Amino acid sequence: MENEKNQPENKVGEMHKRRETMPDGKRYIIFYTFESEEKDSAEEVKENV
Amino acid sequence: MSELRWNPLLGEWTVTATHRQDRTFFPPPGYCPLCPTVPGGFPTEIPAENYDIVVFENKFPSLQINPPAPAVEASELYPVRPAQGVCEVVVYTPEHDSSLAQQPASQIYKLLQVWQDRFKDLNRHDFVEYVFIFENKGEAVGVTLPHPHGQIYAYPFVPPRMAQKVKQCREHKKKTGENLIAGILKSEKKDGQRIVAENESFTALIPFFARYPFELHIYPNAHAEALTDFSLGQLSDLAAILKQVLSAFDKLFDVSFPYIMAMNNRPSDAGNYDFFDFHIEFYPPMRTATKLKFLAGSEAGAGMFINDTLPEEKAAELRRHIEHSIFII
Repeated sequence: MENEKNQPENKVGEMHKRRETMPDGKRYIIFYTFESEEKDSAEEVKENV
Repeated sequence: MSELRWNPLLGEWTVTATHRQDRTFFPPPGYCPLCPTVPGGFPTEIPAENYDIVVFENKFPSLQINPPAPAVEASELYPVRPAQGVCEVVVYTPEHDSSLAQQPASQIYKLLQVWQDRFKDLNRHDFVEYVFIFENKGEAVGVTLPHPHGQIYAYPFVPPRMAQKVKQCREHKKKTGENLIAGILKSEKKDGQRIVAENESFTALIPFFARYPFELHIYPNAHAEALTDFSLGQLSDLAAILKQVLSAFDKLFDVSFPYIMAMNNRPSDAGNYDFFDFHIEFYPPMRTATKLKFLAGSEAGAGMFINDTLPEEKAAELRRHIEHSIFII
């Protein structure tokens, strides 16, 4: 039904993470970001099923 | 005070975590701890003006990397252990008024990669025996922060329900030579009535033995023991089927559908789990648009679930709301 070209992975690039200590000085926080990020402009087309 | 107390009647641990009584409870507008921190505004848990997906240690953890010593003495009858483990919060999006169902498939795909990374990272702790990724969604299941988020608990033991599943899967393989999840999937596909959605890599269904009216399971079409076994292409298929079933849930009764989502991965030790298959389970409490299923006498007291509905009929209801969409880039 969904060919490879149309899968959501194609609009998401490589994942990167940045680990920091939270302001309380005790806990960690990890920011995940993705390369080639596009805001969702996916146009959905309903198939006839 | 926090510790693990042994329940000799059931042969399982209970966590006491009294500090959790003070956790944030339905904060007023503008004070959501999971929103970005805006300049001059309330300092949330996330010290950034924007973010994509963020993971941090829970401020009110049930389990801690460096737990306090137990506040009670152990005995032969009542063993006690420090409540060691990790509790993380996974914030799916900076959008406060949203849900996982409302996210585009591309954001769900990113989240799956984050979950993969957390699974790998948390398994590196030598005290961790099981990494449990889950989401509680909606007031009906006790959620106190509506901002879209899930949680991860890294336990210092394999929790009882997972241990029972591993045992069942191991015994089935020994008896039949077949993986139990693969066997269930084969049976469900042959019958067809309870299938809700499927793609090349995954199948979503309400199983023959469902305990909740809309208890939906997602199984991989090929053997995989953990989320980390999937390729990016398979993750893309998982994102697509999650988007389909979560959207269908919301359309069922035209509400933001509450659920508990439980991700079932293999235990964290280096043992052989080739008899076990990764799967996701949803336990939604709604049985109609106006009625909830409660865990009452039989369920809570006897551990015996009574499903007032037929999985075949509920699967058909849910299937009617599945959109077969193509995501055009």
